[in-house]
Amino acid sequence: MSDLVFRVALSLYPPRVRARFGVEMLDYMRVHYERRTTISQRLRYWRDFSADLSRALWATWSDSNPRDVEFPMVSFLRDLARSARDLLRQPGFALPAVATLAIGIGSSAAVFTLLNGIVLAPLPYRAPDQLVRIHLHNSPTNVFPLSVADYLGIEDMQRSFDALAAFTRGDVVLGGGSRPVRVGAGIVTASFFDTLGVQPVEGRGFAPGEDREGAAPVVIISAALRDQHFGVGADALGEVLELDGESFTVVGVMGPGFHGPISPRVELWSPLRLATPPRRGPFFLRGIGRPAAAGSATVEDDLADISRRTYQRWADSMRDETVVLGQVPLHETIVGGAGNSIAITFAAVLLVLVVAVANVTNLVLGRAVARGAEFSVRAAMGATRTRLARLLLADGVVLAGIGGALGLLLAGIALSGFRAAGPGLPRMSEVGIDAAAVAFVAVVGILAAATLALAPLALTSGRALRNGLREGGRGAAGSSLTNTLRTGLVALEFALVLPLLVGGGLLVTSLLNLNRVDPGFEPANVLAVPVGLPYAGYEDSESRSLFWREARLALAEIPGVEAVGLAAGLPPNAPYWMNNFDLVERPVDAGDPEPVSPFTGADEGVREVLGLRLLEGRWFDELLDQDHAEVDWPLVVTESWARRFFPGESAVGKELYSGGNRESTSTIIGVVEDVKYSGLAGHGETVFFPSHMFWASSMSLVVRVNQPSTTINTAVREQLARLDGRIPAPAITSMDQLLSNSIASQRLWTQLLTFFGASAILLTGIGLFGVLGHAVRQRTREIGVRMALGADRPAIVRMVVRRGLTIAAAGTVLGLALSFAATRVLENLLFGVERNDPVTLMVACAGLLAVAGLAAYLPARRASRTDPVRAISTG
Amino acid sequence: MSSAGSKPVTSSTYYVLLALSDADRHGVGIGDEVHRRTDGIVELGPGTLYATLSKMLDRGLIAQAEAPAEDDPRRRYYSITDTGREALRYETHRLSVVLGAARDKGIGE
Repeated sequence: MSDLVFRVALSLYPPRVRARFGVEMLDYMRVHYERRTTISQRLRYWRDFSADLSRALWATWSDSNPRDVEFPMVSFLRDLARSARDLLRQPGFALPAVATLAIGIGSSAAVFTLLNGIVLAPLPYRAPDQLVRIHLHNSPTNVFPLSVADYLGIEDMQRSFDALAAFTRGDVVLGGGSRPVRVGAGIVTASFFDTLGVQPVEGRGFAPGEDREGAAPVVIISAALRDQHFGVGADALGEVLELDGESFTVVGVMGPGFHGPISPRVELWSPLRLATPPRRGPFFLRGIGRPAAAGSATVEDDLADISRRTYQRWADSMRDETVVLGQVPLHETIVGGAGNSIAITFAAVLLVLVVAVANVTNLVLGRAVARGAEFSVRAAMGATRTRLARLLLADGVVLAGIGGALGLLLAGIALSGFRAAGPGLPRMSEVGIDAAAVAFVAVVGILAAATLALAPLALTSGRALRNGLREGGRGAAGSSLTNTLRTGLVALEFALVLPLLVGGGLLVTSLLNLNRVDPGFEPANVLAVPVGLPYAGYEDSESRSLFWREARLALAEIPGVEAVGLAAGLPPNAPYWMNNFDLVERPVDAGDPEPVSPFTGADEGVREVLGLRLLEGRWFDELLDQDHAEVDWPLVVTESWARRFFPGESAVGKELYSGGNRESTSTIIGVVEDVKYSGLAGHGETVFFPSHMFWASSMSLVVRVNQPSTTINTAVREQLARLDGRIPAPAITSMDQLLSNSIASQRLWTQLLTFFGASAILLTGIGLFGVLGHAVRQRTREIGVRMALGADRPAIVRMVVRRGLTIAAAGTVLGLALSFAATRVLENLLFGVERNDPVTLMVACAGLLAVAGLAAYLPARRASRTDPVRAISTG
Repeated sequence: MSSAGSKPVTSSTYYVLLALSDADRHGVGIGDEVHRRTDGIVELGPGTLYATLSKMLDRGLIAQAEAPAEDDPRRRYYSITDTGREALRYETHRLSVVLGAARDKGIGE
């Protein structure tokens, strides 16, 4: 960062401190800035800077002799009161001005709270910037969790961490209450809480060794779960919780403010049961570490070394040498892609804010012209320019103050609406109108007040005032200068609105494209019923298989149900797992990465229920006939998968090794049309395995009904409860809903950006309308003369509209340049449309000019109705 | 007991006194020591730190010290004075009384 920036920053500090310590402070700022390497850390630096600045200013100011500051303050308060009274007398000016500011400030404050709470605020753990997520990867895009073998290896060999932990997430069935309920659980190492640097408010954390096989089952619960299960504020320590049919002793309760790094949110934490595994996989543990301040090796070297040794040790069950350990700041993995979307939305809303302030500045300029005579008289009577400046500043402060206060209120309302709409944003529980939001509104308010005061101040130059006195009767102090300023502001608004429109247009096109994607299944009239079996009673595959078969039959008997299937994993974005495999015909070389695909479980009913379209070969046989199946391990693949791995030939009959298993092979028996399991925007490569190959304890029953109804949902729940009363009532959703949920976040950002674009274009249209209306009033006499000389009405209309369009076109040209630069940040959010899509650009420009045309036409029509005789005689 | 040494001091003054109690340090060094000793909870901004240092110099709690020859000459070193040590002792005593009262009420156990 250049020296100049720090010098400017330094110049804001109180002169007294600056004079004494200037050189040292520059050094201090630079040292601290350079320690921050990531963008979010650097953004946070400037936020902290503003807090520090205000603290230093206050400390110095409050120390000064009160008499030095009291006198001007009191007189300024008088000015404020006067401004407020003036505004009340002019509601036609005050209402739109205050409303525009409130909307601009309110929407930007609302988005700011998201940016601050989610992206900028440090995670609520001890020294959170040190924490890293440890993962495996064999390419920048293929990043996946650790296995038990990896984690134990790191724990054993590492030389660079102060603390290490791992966790995974699962749903458990909590019994013991009136009804069993499904609760999110963090399954963690004993070191989990110590690594984060947080402790339970009651009881203790986990002790070392409690995460090894054979340790007594213990659990730590959230304050919310304690209140709900044991009673508000009850003493839960030592009590027993029945989880998946097993008894766990409660040893600790977390504070209500604790948000762990596990998503979605969990209500209890219990230790993993680690034991030396037979092979390298499966990969399900998320590692976190706190690098030591002075370790004997750098984290990079240490992880590289551990990767090498882990590979050698487990080469039998994992032949891919390119899989290595990596680290990312924990903050980045939690905030992820949402940070990008929030930052873009914040940029967009700042544009709206600038447009809003520009618009109000325009109104203020118009008012100043009307008050030109008053100012000129005041100046002639001896008011100094400083005095006039203070009057204008008071106007600005009152407008911005009221606008800011209302804006804060609006932001609060918008935020609670946003929360109710419930987009799945990370850390949403940490977002709210807090001190930072108030500080943001204060800073924006001060800037707005300064802008509102400075623009008309230009009109109080000595020459302008003298002119004003000369033209006094017509109240046109500095009118040509004002007109230039106002025209320039409107053109600027057009320039800023175009990127908003183009961005909104691109996102809308992307969303439409996503909605048009063929998901590969028929979502109408299909219900998804996720069911999780408790552990006790379903320890072996036999008992689970029995339950699932009975459940299928039971649901099929419900009136209105047409077909039932059993699926592990559901489209459009939840395959059962990502699995590696190797083609028997063309195996990869030893040490090379095996290909990876989404794998998902389905039985013969799934094809009928979801309406999958078979292209070649056959689908899985009837479950009950599995003993008579022709191949042991059949697989069905999608068309894109087949085309990628067997281009130009049939995939049917080909064999592959699945998941590192070299003992037996699986055989492809059929090819279906692409089904989306990696999101609607993702590819359609999927491998189906028959559900009975792996009887999982959590699966989904998919049910095709003739007409969705609550009666059927109730019957489904009753049938499942009848089979086993310990199963919690499932959350039944329709496949339509799942499809819609899968693009909920794209929809949210698109709606927000479109809303901001619409607000901005409306404001800009009003701004142009105001400027042209004023110009028409000023030129009444000229128009009258033109008409008297033979100009007809259409000619007058054309003249005014042409002026409006010229202003708009100038702004649009500048806006195009801005758009080319701005849409770059959208690239990752677009689907099926280029960021420089000519159609979108043209539509946005045309829309902008159409609004300009309309905004210009209204004053133009009024101009054309000028009565030449009256205009000339009174003008 | 001098008057400057027996008045409660602001928290930033206390952090600076604490940082200088065992060694002379320059501004960046004071900031780092405070950050390290407080587990990263307290981060002094440049304005807060130097406004505090300014007042502390005026009140005689700290003084400018000799800088080690090898260090950057732009960095001035500060040392704690006897008055400063007195203030540190007094404030530590005052805080421990307050903390004791809090613990008696079962807070922060």
